[in-house]
Amino acid sequence: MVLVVLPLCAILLQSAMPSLFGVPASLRLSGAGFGAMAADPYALQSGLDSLALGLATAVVATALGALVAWLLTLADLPARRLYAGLVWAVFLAPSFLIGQGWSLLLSPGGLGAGVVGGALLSPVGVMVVLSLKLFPFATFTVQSGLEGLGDEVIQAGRISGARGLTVWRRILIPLLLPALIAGGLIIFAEVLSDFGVAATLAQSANFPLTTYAIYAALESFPTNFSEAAAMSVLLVALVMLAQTAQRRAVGRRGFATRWGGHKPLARRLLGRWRGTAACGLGLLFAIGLGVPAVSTFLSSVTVHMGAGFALTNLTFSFYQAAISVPYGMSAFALSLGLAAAAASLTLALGILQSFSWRRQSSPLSRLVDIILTTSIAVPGIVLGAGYIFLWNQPWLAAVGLDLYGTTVLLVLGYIATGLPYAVRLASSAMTQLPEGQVSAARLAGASTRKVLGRIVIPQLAPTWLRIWLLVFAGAVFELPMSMLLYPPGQPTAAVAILHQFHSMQIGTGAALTVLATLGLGAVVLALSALLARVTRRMTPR
Amino acid sequence: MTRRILWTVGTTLALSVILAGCGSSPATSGASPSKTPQKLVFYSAQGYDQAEATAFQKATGIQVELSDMSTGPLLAKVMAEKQNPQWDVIWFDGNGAMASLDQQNMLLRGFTPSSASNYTSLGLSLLPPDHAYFPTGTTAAGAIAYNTKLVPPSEVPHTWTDLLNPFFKGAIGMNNPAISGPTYPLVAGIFQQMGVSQGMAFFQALKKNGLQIFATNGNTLQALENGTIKVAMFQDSAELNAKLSGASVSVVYPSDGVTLLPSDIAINAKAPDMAAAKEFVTWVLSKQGQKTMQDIQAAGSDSLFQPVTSVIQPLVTRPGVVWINVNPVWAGDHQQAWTTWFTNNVVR
Repeated sequence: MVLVVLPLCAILLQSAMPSLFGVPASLRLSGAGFGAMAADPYALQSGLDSLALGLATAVVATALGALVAWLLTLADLPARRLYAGLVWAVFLAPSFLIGQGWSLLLSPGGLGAGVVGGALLSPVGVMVVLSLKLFPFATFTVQSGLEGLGDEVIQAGRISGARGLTVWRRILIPLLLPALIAGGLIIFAEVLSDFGVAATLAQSANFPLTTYAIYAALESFPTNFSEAAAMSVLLVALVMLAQTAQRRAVGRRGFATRWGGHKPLARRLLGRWRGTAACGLGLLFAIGLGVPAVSTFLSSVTVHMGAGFALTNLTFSFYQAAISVPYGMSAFALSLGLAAAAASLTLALGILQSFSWRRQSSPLSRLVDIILTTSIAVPGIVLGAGYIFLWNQPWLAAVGLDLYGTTVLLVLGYIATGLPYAVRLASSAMTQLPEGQVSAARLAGASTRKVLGRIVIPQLAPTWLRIWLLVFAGAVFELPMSMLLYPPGQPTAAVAILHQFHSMQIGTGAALTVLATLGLGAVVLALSALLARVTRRMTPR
Repeated sequence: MTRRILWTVGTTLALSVILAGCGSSPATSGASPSKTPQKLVFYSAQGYDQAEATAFQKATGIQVELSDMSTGPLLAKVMAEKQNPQWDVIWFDGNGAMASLDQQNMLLRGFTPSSASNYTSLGLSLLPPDHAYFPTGTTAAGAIAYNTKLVPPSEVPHTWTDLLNPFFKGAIGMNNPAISGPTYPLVAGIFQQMGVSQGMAFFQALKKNGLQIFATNGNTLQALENGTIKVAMFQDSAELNAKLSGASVSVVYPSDGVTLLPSDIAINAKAPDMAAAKEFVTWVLSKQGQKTMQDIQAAGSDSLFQPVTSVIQPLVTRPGVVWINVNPVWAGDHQQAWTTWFTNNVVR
């Protein structure tokens, strides 16, 4: 909580108290921040745009995610495991890379400038790109909802004469509603805080978004923290509203769909749609993942982007440059280390949290849930500024806590961005653990250690690894906060890559991106394989 | 309930302390103003900053800790640190923000590095009377670049208003001043040259002639190289870099003048290591420091600046350039209003 709430307060309070961290500091209240926002047509327009984009993306991405979840869980889709892996690849791919890949593609002279460029450089295009990136959130919530359902409900529906769509309309969608809304809410918050696409595609499409307006307020000089803070308050308020709506819609039903023993789901035959579905899904990944990847790769091997494709226009020299630039590979190594530390600590906190709140939903746990979800919507650059305000207090040095400018603060920042997901995923996995199993083991005289080792850990370990990977991959390429907080002289991977793009060394930047992505992919694959092995050994089947 | 709160807070705090203990960079022992320079904390948005830091460390033995980022985050970081500044030296393009930092008493005034004697008259014209910041080189915020395959010699523009030629209809490009750092100075410079209302009319006329707005130098350059546009105006170092790397691009300096976009370096008024800061600024303006800025392999297009000292020769010549020095305070005061005007009237 200290990690998330205090930095948020440090910046959000400045919307009303602009001199909170001034010289001299004061608690003077002022409406100037909100006034500036209200008077700035760009800020207002961007607020409305962000809201509309958030809602539209939440709907489209949730529908897309639910469809993918259904295909993966309930249909006899070919190559299911490959597709399930690809959903994870989309999920773990850092949005900064996706945004960069798309803008390399769509920039004039890029691969697709003429063909799709015009269509994608529009509000709808921005929504499509974001949906392609964010749908896995809905896939995962819906998938875990579906897995908990049990085949009985579907069979019961069919026996009563319900056919295809009716089963969906009358049984699946109502039962999955909490999962659908939970996925949609996270997507909504993610869209609001997205900076990668807001700064690239959306700007090129002249579609101002709040995160970009915040950046502009920070960039204008003198830096307008109070206006930036006021706009962040707006984002926070939007997410709070959405959460209230969620609670209204879901009521007290809760998220758990798993009710102890049930028949495993039977896969429905897709029949002649099987090939179509597989192709459709393949196309989805080809666009969502393949396009940005290919465009980044092409930029890394092309001498002149404008000169088109010819053998003479190809080069691998950028890779040589990428390896030899100071702070290329070493920045990546540093990021791997920091991300691993952050992921491990975040996971530990998430697990502790989930154990302490098992079975009860106290007002405190609800409050924490609200705050954590809300914090998703706060852009990284704002959170980063909050960290500086908070951790650069002169008195902290006296007590040995001057963490600002150290890798420790960076790790704390990564933990804060990962915690909302860690807590959510860990505690939802925990609530879905069948209560009966634990009580039965206890009755049979099993020690706590045995219950943990035989029942809890084997069932939860896959979720825990997912949390670890999620936080890890997010932190390796985290950009906005790292840029403000990285210790002088020790740039992180994303900072080093961006530096290349800024000094117009686009080939070198793209080559670094490709190398770093490959490195990250190798780490993730190795760990997944390791986990698959460990769980197989631990599960007594 | 209370117990649980305490527990959560306690765990997190304990964790932070443990983390603090085993962090890889040990907490520095405050800002002890020492006479011997030890460690330079250096925030920069320049392409050549890394090369400069390495060379300075090698030459003097003073340890350099560089934070490289774009100008926006750099300024946000400096402002967020206002209560307890950590930096010794900052270095970025554009004197508007520097003038504003100076107005807020955040920069060291009155220091004259011994190497300031190297300044040319161009350099001296960019040096503020209170010596709060020092120009280290300059580029043009915008010059005209054209695609040599698409623009015959007879149609090559020589002034800004030549861009209104129907020959360029629908094929003119520039960056968005709300996104691209060097573009606002270009707009402000044209406003100063032509007068504000004339300047606004000029951009609206350009829009009528089919002006296309791209995000940054890179995007505009690509459009120019692949023929989406025939002519463009953006930062001249990026234009010259394209020309040098063999693209079919040529650069024209309009005879009515181009806006100076100086790179400025400044010392923190409360620099933790003042001695190191002074030594660094002195070194940057020396022959060795200036030469390092021209290491194009390390620094990219930023190395193609116009020198403001007599100790180095430019990597590229700028034939016939007429420089215009825009008043940074005047430009800064209007930045928000004019960027908004541009967004509403030209971009959309």
